[in-house]
Amino acid sequence: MKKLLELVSVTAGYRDRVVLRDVSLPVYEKDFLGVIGPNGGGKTTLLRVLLGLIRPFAGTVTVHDPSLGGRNLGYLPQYKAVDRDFPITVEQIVSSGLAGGSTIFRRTSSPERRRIEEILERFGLVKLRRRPVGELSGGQMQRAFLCRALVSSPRLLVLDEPDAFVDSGFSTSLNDILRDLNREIGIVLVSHDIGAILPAVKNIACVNGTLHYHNSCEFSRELFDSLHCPVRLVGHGDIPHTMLKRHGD
Amino acid sequence: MPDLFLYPFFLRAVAAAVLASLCCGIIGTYIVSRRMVFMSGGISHASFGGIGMAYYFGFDPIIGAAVFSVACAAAIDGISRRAGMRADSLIGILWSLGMAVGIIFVYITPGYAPDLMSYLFGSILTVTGFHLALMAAVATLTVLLFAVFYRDILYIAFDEEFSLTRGLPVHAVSFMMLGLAALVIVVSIKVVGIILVLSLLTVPQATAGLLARDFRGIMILSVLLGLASSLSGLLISYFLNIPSGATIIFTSVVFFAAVSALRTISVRLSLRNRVG
Repeated sequence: MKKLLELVSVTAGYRDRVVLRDVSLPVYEKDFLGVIGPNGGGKTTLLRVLLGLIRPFAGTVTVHDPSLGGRNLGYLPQYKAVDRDFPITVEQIVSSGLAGGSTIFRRTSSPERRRIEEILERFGLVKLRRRPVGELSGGQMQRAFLCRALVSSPRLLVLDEPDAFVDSGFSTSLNDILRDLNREIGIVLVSHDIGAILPAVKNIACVNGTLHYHNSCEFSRELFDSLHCPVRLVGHGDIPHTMLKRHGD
Repeated sequence: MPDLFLYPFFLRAVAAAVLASLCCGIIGTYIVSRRMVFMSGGISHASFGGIGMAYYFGFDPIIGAAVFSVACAAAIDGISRRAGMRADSLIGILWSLGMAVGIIFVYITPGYAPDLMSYLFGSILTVTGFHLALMAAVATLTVLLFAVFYRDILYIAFDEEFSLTRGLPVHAVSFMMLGLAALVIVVSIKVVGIILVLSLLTVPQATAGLLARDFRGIMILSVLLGLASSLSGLLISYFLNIPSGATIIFTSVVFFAAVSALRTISVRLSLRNRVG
């Protein structure tokens, strides 16, 4: 498996606060990496290092794939990071996914126009293109931001809790979309509800100050397929837990 | 009434109202969208420090105001980004510090400060050719920057973090906009004053926000609404012989109230039609 990028002994945080200590993490081509961990454990910090938004205090981020050199990563931020009152339309949001470097003095080129059309079409947003962000449902917003992340045809898609956009968590459609995308590109996904997408996940990173990496051998897709059940809960050993009976049993 | 337009002071006032509406309509849309209204209040009040110093040292108050407000904008941007201080506390400090410095300098200046009130509440009828030239320069700069960088400004204002992942010059553009906001505020002080300038940046935008849904639409409508309210306010203040700055603000709020009332009625009607 070719690596897309790799974190080696990264220590990172904010100002005087260290959030991640000595973290190493490979991200492979066509990887599907699930990032889990408690709140405040450093999941978002890990993403910020991956995205190049913060520079680590120590350690290195090596980009193995030349196409990622210009940081061509698709990024879908958290729902709560979105300003839903901002006067911006779906089409403008998607177009912003193509911004960068030389957009100044330049109008959107016609191949870019076509690419925007194509992706709006693919995610069923053509009719909503002029709608402002505040008038979208959670699912529509999720698709709009997914379009923005994907419009530049990145090799790696980074999603920060995409399930938070909709009440029902992971809709089957998002699941299908991600699986489908994963045939072509790598995916890094932070989620509280990793169980819901576990069958698609190839590797898991548990982040809580430090990072534990679990590769697919520990939870192969075949295992889940053989169980014939959607796994909703994954935990490490020694977690105190209580299972209540189903109502009506 | 036609005689009125023969007075040069009135023509200058009209020109000042037009230019202020233009630059405040544009930068105000940015300020409101990015929730920087409080910051703009801080910048405008801090400029009073520069006005006070200008009285004491004897140079044009608008120059002092410009230096203070741009410095204040730079301080807010720099300190809140680097030292991690809460931006709103910092704005509160600079807001009151500027006013305090201004009052001290005005006090120690010998003699009476004749047009101090005009800086607090504006005096559009005493706009000079020099002020108009400054306003025209800032208005041109505003239109130019928005024309050239429109998409980058919009994308960065909406989502700084995503724009960073796309390699956009986020910090440079944000700082440029803050500096521009400071300049627009300073040149508009002559029209409505330090205390009221905030409303030129927010009221037309609020009205436009009821009618338009995207950034460009709100920007254009804000300029038009700003023009309508400042020109009608100017005329009303002339005929009723009341302060022009305050009248301009009052008419713009009346526009807002009228538009929101009309909108409520039309929504109700369309609902009733759908039900009935």
